[in-house]
Amino acid sequence: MKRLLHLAKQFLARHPGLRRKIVNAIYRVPMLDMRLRAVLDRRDDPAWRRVDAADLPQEVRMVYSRLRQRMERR
Amino acid sequence: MKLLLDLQGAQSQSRHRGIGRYTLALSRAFLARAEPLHDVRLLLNARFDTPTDALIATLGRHARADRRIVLDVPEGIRAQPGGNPWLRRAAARTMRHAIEGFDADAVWFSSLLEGYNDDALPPDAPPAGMASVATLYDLIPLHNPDVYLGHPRVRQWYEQSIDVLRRCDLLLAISEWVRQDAIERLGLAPERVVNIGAAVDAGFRKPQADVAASEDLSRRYGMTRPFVLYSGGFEQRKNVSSLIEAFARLPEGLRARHQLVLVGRPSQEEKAQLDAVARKAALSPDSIIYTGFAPDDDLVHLYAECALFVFPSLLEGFGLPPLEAMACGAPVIASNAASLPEVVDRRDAQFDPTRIDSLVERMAQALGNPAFAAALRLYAQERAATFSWDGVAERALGALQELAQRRGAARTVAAASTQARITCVVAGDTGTPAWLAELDARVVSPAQLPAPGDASPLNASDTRLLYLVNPGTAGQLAPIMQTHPGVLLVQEASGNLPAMPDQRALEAAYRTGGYADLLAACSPGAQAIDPRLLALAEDALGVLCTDERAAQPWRSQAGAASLPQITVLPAHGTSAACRREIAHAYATHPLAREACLFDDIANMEGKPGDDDLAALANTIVAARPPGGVRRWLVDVSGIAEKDLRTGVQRVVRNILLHWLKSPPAGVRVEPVRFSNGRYRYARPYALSLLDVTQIQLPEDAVEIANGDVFVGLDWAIDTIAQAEPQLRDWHRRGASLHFLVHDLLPLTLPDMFHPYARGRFEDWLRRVAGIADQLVCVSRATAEDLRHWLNTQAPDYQFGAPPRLCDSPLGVDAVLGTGHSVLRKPLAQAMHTRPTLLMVGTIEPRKGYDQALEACEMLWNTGTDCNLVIVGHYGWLMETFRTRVQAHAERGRRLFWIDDAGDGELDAIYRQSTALLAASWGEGYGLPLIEAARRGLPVIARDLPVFREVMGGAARYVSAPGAAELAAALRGPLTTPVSRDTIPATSWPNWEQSGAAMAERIARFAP
Repeated sequence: MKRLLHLAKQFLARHPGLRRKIVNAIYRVPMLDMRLRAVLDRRDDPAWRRVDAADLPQEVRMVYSRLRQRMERR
Repeated sequence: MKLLLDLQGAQSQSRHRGIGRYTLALSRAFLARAEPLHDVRLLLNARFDTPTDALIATLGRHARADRRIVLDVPEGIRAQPGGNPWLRRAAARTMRHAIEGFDADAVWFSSLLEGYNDDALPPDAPPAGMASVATLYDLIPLHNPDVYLGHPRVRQWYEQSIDVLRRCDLLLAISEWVRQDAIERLGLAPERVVNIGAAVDAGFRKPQADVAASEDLSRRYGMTRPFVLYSGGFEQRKNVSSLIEAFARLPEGLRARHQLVLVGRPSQEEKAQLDAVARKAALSPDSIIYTGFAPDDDLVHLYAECALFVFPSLLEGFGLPPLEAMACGAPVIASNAASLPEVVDRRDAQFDPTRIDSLVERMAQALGNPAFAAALRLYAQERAATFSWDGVAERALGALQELAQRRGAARTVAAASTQARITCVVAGDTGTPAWLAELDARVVSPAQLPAPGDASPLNASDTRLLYLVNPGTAGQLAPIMQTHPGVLLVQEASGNLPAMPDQRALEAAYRTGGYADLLAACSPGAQAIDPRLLALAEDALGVLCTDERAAQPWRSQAGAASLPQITVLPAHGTSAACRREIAHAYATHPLAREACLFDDIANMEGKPGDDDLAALANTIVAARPPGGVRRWLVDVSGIAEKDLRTGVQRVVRNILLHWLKSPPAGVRVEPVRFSNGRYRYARPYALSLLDVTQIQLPEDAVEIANGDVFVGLDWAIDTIAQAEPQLRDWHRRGASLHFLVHDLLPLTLPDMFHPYARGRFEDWLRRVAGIADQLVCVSRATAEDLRHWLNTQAPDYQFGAPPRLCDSPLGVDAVLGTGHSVLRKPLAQAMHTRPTLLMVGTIEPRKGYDQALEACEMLWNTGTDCNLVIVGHYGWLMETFRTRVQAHAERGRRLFWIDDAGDGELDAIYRQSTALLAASWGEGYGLPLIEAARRGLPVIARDLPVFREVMGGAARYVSAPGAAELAAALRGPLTTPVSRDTIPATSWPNWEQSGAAMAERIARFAP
């Protein structure tokens, strides 16, 4: 979806008249506007970005276990 | 003054609005004014990737890597429904912890009202230990809470944000009206709010008259007569309905001669309401034009060409549109409400926005009186010129300096508390010094320590742990110190070091000091500290030594390893000094500060899942200030997967081996590989390269820190597409990226490569050029090719600037072979019988094998008796040549192709040949030429710049466009061989020198 929106943005950048019409239409529906912005801002989190509790770097693993110990005993 | 400038206001969704524009413009002006007088660091949120790149590119040198602090925050922490409230609270607390860790004099938040519908993350409270400053745009939602704060979640988020704002030491208001409003509504002391004002971008200025552009603008937006202009929002407070009513009530002649143009983006509901007002006022449909969104270029022309700009707002934090209009030379009238009189300060250009009559009167005056309109135009430009971002930055800097002076005068240095209770943890037979009794400390064994979080006096926040260690008991303490970090007391110098430390001690040696320390630990006598003690260092808040002798080994290790502060206690007043040092370690060491953070997080209500805790742990580690030891992450993705013994992999092996054994000063070298979707430490490969078999280390995921250096030593063409996003992220976070480029042959000699290979190569080059800080070429010739390619292709650079280029020569093996290897029989016989022309390299089109064979056939046909020996694996696009060789009449007699020669046999062939022919049409370097020359073998090389660069006078050069010319050039050297003693002595760097030179080039441009 994000990729599609980026392609659409690139296309519209070459057609300013059409871009203005579409942007105006979208701005008149605030919920749609907000959602589209959220999609465009969303990261395509590939594997390296996902934080997986079972596959943490060593230092993160240590902090994680210290946090867990405290959470379990509260 | 050390200042942390939080730029999330220019990264988040606010970047689309006035807050983002204000933040960006003010930051640029402020940084230009503040640096280098003040140390300004930029705080950025790693969740916003592309906007961050644009921001870094825009801020240029002010946002260079060592100025950036990019914090990784968990995903999904927005305040709106769907966000994770526990994670948001814990992350906000962590943000405060992170800011406090940077030990600044002040932090300036560009916008604290962030994070409702994205993952922007203001702290949960102003950070301690520094002044907190925030930009205040307005408090308009507090004027009309029912409209702006109707939703309970919005209200809660807004109130929490305002609470942090209220607790800041200084607010920088964008207008005097906002300042007064904050003093009144937030109950702040007047000196805590300073008006710094605002300005407009330099792009808003009166454009050159252009009739064609003007007609085009009118045609596109539908203007047919002079127009009254409004630009801005359409919510109720903007009062646009009054403007429409007032326009309708203008005298008939004036109204008929003008149109009303409204620039902006009304919602459906707002548009319907305005349409109703227009209908009620009986305005004709062509009287009002809604332009919708207008880009800045159009807006400038609209401002410049309008007959009058009207701004009837009831509530405004500053009033940017009227200032923009004035800067473009428009006659402007504005309401006398809120901040607007600060922008339009001429009384006869103001009106009462609550009285339509007042608005009608002022509009009629401006539209019907050309002299008044002209006066307004003149005033507009003079007035607009008094607003500048430089002026705003000057006021902001002045307010910050004044705050710093105030705090400096008032601040009493908070001494670290020395009153806390000390608990000594003593394992086994460790002796306790006599002065310990003066500390009034509890003395416990490791088994008596409670688990963290348990209700026990030993877990009280004011308990300080002092571990008394000796090498024999270190093993007992290591797991305990992981959960209870404390201060180490070392009472004696290491005695007899173990012949071979156990696995845990070796792992600790690696963790604290990298492969160099691991190798030392594996070599009896080479290690400074007992590896068993070293295992405790990573969880120690400080190391106290009772005498200099005990401290010396730690000091000698500290340059290359991550060790805490090492202190020698005095012989007199030892207990007091010990108490002082413990207090200092607990007040300053990141692990001690983290313990407080953990306690706060554990006390938060909510039930976080494993993934929440993992995400938070990731944020906490990413927030740590970088340590003293810089890391070089050396990419070995290809060779760690499979060592194909290619030329590139040979370079990787040799350079890496040198770097691992002798890392540059203050640098820890870590081979990494891209595997299972992310970069991981290539520890098994590194251990095998170093021939260390005593331990095994896991391939953990890599965590990055500002100042780390990534070296693309291996040609990772198979992984670059997947790895690029992670490398971009590392680059953003302040890692510098360097890649080794061997050649550009697929681009400079495209016909000699398969189209698919060409495409893959270009893709690799484009990706690395887009993110690299530096491209290290193996020769000046390659660097020239690359410079030309960058100039003509102009890839999309991540931060808008091209990489630096440099060249660093490759090395050669220090020790030559003995030449005693036995050649296979027919080859040995042939080489003994007649002169031999040797060619070494992969069988591929650019190597010129076709032409060389044709030249040899001519020599054979004209009676020159010689061998042609080709050593190399089959490559690509040479099927015809292969068939021709395999079916050749001279094959096995005077023509030999050896595709399985080992190093020893190749050495023997070099030594017994008559000349080396390098007939390549293009090369990145030319190692076979050097290998031949070092063995005294005459070299005949095609006249390429790279060969001349590498070989200088140690080769004979031929251009030979055709086989006949080549045959003619070869005949002499083969029939009258040159004596090996006449080859000019030339020295080439060995791998150690090559590795050192490459390291020097990388270190020179690393942050």
